[in-house]
Formats: sequence, structure tokens, C-alpha cells
Amino acid sequence: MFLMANLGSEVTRLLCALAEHNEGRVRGAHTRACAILTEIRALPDAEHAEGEFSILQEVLDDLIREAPHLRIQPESLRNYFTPFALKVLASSSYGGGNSNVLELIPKPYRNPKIRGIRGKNGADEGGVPRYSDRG
Amino acid sequence: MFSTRMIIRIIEKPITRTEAKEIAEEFYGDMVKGVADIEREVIALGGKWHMDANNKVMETGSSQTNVWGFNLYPDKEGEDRIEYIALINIRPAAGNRNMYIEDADIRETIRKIIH
Repeated sequence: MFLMANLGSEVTRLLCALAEHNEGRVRGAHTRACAILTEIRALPDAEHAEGEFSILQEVLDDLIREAPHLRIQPESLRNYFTPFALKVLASSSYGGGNSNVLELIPKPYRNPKIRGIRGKNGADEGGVPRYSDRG
Repeated sequence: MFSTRMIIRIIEKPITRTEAKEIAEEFYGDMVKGVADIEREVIALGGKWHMDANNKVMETGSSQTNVWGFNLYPDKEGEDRIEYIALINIRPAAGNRNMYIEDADIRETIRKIIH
């Protein structure tokens, strides 16, 4: 789960770099994202989800193509990773200081009291907001 | 990272909102990943990945071309309740190059199956 949240952070960087047309940052983020995905795919229990990881690899590669084959909306991809980040934050008392994971959470919801995640100060547990991505 | 305890449920008859919330709470809390077979009109809910539910319906006789992924938010109302987004929805051969299900008819079919 932690690796998926980190992968989400790297994909977010990749999307930002693409928007800025910063080729160097694009290459760096893509390389790091692929390395994390490879690490995830090598985990013992990852085999049953290999089909999903395979599609994810294809999406990562498509993002950096000059003429993408797919029509991936950045917001859809960010929303895909958000639940993993929220899960990590919820299970580690406000992320354990993991700023990478926090990048996936829109700023208004990073406060554990707002998000209802039980923090070190004993914030109440409750619902976690989601972020719609209709289009 | 991966839990050994993972329950995927095939839903052929209507379930209550409470039951859907229970499935959601098993992993993501407020959301549950699922797939719908638009031909058989069944859904599978639960798991960490859409591929989990996808594999489950395939085991019970579904054809991949009829299976689409979604996220269900049991506590939400109206259009916010279902999110037609999943990596498994990317199917260039079927004309869907997006994580979002672009065909409105398919989305509507899924909505009717879920409701």
C-alpha cells in the first residue's frame, strides 16, 4: 500500500512535468515510477493483480509518448491513487511525516481533523472525502 | 502491502446500503471497487484492485468484453455514488482509451444493475 501511494506521488510529479513540458523531469519521474511499479510487481502476493499492473505500466509508457495511443485524463489517474494515499495516511497517524504521500491529497483535506483520520492528537475517525472526476 | 484476507462478493440480487458499506469498510473505508458484467447483469464487489473483482466474475463465466470497472461510494447519493473509472476500462480495441467509461449506454446499464 505504501509503495502504491509512493507510486502515486511519482505519477503526480510526472503529470506536473508533462504539463510544464519539462522533458528532464518527465524522464526522471517516469523512470522512478517504473522502478516503483517493478518493485510492486515483484511482491509475493502481487501476482493476482498482474493484469492491473500491466495496464498501469502501459499507461505510464503512453504518458511519455509523443503521440499517445490512450486518452488518459490526469485527474482520473490522480483519483486512482488517492485511495491508496488515504489508506496509508489513515494507518500511520497522519502519514508518519511522509510528505510524498501528502502530495496526492488536495490541501483542504490534509488536516487530519477535517479528514476525520485519527491522528496523534486523537482526532475523531470518520468519513473520508473523495474527489469526483466526471468528464 | 497485500493483505491475505480479501473477500470478493458476486452480487446477483439487490443488497442493502448497509451491506455495501460493510464491504467498503473491509478495505478502503468509504469506497468499494467493483466490476459489472453488463450481459449477465451481475456485479462483483470488494478487493484491493478492480482486477480482483474482475477475476472473480471471469471465474464464474463472464466474458471480458462485458466486464467494466467502477468505484461505489455507498454513503453518497445520485451521480456521486458511482464513479465509472478503472484501469481495466482502458480498451483501445473496444474504442475506450480512457480509464473512464466513455460509452454513456454502458454507464447507464451499469447504473441500472447497481441500483
